[in-house]
Amino acid sequence: MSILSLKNISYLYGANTPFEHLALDNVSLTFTEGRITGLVGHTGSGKSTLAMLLNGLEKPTAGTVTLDGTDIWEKPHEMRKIRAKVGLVFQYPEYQLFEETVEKDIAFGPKNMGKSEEECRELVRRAADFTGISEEMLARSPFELSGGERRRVAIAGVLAMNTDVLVLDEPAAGLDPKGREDILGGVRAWQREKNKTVVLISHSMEDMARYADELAVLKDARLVMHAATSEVFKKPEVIESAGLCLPQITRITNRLKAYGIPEGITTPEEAVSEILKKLR
Amino acid sequence: MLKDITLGQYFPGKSLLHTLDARVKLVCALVYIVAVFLCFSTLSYAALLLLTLGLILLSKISVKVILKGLKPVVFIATFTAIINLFWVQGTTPLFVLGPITVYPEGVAGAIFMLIRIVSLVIGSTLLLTYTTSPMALTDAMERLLSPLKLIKVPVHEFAMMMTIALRFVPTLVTETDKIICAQKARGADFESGNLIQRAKALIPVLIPLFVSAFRRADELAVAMECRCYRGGEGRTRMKSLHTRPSDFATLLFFLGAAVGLFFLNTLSNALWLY
Repeated sequence: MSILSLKNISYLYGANTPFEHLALDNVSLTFTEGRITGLVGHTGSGKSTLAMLLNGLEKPTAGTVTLDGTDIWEKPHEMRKIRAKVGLVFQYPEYQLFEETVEKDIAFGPKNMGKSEEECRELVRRAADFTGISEEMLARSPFELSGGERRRVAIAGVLAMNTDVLVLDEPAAGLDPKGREDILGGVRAWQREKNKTVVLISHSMEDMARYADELAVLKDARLVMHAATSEVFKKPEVIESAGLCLPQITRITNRLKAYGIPEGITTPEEAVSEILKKLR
Repeated sequence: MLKDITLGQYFPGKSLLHTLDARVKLVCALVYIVAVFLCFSTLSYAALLLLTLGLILLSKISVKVILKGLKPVVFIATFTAIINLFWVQGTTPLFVLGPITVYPEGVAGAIFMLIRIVSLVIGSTLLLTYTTSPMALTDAMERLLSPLKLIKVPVHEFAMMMTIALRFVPTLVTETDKIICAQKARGADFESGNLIQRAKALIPVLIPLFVSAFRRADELAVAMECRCYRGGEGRTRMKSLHTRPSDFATLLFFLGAAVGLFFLNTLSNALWLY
């Protein structure tokens, strides 16, 4: 397992140009091993930039990104080793597909990592299982698939790399509820089974309530809170000041505080159980 | 990263160069390019440098940004200077290094060539892309070429293609950057290996880029048709270009500068090489 940390990270876009913009300002954060950490914040708060810093696609202007206590920029020529440990799925990843078949596309990452043919096949099969890709689909061209199916293929391509840490930048953006559930449920099943560390970026607080164990809230390039999801949801003022809304179920149950319902409930199942407890 | 390249980018501002009519800037840029090739002597090159420096000051764009924009031409400028250094022959050798003889004229030729390339890039980008928005530029081009409509040249369609192409350059650069990052995240290696291996490594970037470019083009064409686009006929303008006295003064200044640069050649020892 790997521990990924950010220490006093700042990132400046377009330095010394009229487009200069501070995307991250002195952010320090450690991602807890074997947990799903949700990264939330309004558009332009620095979430996607932070994701790019986590596997060395961008170099911080100041501060250090450490993996297992070592600065990932200590040996820039060995960055591929870092990327073999920290996987990253971009927004709309379906646009990165290029191989003739889905199977070959999913195997692109494992092949780059030097895995044998047998290992590649096994990794592809496991990743396809987690993302609900059938045997028949594996033989098809990625360009024949629907948008949701292509998204699943792209995510499977990164899951197949079996990295210790997986960063997902809005993996379910633009999908219908069933598509969201399929993708995020598959990622959670993979994370739970393999005890991986996952960083999940999303605007959907409903998704965060359902899948994230802890939340890091970014506002105007700064980290304003990092705590367990239920703890963050007990502070609606932090969420609202970051330009976000609490999940509907949390808003309802927070208003039932006077009737003895605890604050920070994140899922409808939890709400039902607490309300039933009070009714009995 | 590709997005670090500033050459061809527009920097909004309110300097004198920014406020000039785009048509005038286009003509001035052409005059400036001709003027650069009319320099053959130390004095005319010094005047050209002064003119370029004046343009930098007038544009109010940071020198750092302008120097950053020179990055893509560093190789070609250095290469040309070196070729000139060894190629140009004079009368008295400066020094001999084995089979290579360097003449003072060679050194001068190398320096002049360097000044010529740097001035050409700085001057034309300052007058055109850095201080003129792509839309204003293509609009100006359409107006300047409008007489060609008389001989059935599709000037509007040509200008619209230019506008769209320029509009999508930053989008495609960002997209390319994104795809490169995505493939790097999947372990792709673009930095090592021989030329063939490196070319092969670009396939995972080029295929998604072409697919996305065609998708965008198709979507844009449909969106334009949905908004009743049917070519230039009967289409009105939202912003009309207006020439002011300062525009005419600038044009006269550039024409004067070009003539002046040419006559400066006669006042000092000219290196009539090119």
